[in-house]
Amino acid sequence: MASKEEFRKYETGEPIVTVRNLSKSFGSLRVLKDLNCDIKAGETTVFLGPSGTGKSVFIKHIVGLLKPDEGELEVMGRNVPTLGERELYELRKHLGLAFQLGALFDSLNVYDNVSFPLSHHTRMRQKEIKSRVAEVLELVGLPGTENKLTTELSTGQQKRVGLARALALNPTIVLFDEPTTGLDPILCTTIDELILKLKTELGKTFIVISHDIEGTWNMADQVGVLYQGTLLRYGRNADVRRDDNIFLKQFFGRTEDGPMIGV
Amino acid sequence: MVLGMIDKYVVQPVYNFFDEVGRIVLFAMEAITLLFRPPLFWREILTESHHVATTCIIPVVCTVAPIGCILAIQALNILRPLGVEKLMSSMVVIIMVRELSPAMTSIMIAAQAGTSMAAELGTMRVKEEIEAQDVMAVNPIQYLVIPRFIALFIMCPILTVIAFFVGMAGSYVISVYVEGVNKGAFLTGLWTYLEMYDVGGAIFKSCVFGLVVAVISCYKGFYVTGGAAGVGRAANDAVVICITTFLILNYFLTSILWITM
Repeated sequence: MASKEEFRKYETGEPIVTVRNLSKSFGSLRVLKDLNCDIKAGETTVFLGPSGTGKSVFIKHIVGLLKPDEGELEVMGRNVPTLGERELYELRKHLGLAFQLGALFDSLNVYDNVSFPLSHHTRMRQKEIKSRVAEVLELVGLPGTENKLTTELSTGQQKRVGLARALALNPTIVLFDEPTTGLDPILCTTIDELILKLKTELGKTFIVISHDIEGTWNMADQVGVLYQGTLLRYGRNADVRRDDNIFLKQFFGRTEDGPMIGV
Repeated sequence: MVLGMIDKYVVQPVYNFFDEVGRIVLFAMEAITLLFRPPLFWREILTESHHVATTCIIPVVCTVAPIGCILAIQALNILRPLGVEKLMSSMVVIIMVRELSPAMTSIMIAAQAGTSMAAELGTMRVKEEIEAQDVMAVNPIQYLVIPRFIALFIMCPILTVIAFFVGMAGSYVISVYVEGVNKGAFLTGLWTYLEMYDVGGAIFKSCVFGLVVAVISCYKGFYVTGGAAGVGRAANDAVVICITTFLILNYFLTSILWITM
């Protein structure tokens, strides 16, 4: 059985997430329509698109928070929609998701937030946990903030603590749900550079949901453009950037003139 | 037109009621199943128990003590003209143990701890904290709901016992020091009709009420929708549904435990 097999190591460029004909509806609203793509290990894949086009719904399928109505979704060789709770939780230990608004636990301080997955899933001693927490906080540029309450942090800092928590278990795939939404341009650049730095230093697979076009060109190896639940284009960064598709030109050119309608 | 009205005002509300009851029962069953699956989060159980005890003790004392006093006055008003004043404490203790201590304690726990739990879980849902736990491979029902279930199941009977003593103390003070009832007669009367079965029944009732608060408050908070307004609605619904359920359930429990005696 797949669930009892060890999670193998993926070589760079090898498909680590495979999506086939993925569809999802909420009532009469079809949010994802026949999505197909291969996300490669060791690369940064960014899914772009206007608000309300199903990007967050897509990422929730990858981590198994939502089940598709149709189609298949394999993550690290596991068919996510068919997994039972135990198998899904085993898989999730290899995934780190940084939520759009951080999703930090208000009642806990930064240390308790970041150490949460470590104290639940490892047999590390307190000293080792402390050291790992300090390490990931250093990685996201927030050293020495362990004792701060999450409510004392700015939005950008909260996002970074959320990222530190996602990185704590040293996951194979790191997912970001709109890491720069609601941040000022300087913080956006800081977060983009942080993702680039992490990719260089950690060599992990990053899946980013975003509508920040400039940031995407800087960090992405692969780019997917979602519009009204359909994957308009999926390919290498340079290829997507140069694409002549009228929808893409309108979106990248940030203009109202064109067939794309804001949601 | 008429059919539309019947559908809107009769069929749909009835359907929604049974749909909600079904969901609450499924949620309770899932939580109870997970209760027997490790890990059990001891630190959270202690934290929640401490929270329930510290937030509910004062409201419980403040409501039950005056009720004990009132009960003493009203009992004396009936019994004194009949010349059976000595039965006053027997009557008060039976009413206090069997009915008022569990019911009043549960109502105050629902109002204080239940609303707090619904609001807290609701806020966590709105802020995606529950989803974050799930994504971090920690079952949120095990981590958030089970400790609250256990805390209420343990603290409700403990607070009921405290409420009983406080209520009886209020009754004693009014009877002996204000109404001039003989101290010895009051204390002897306490044990005339009271049996261990009554105490056991009261504790059983309070355990059931504790579970009712836990199930309804946690369910309402856990499945909040609609942002801040949804959280407010959940807290309000939790307390109203809990108290209504107690009052209905209390009749059936009393019937089962004492009606044939």
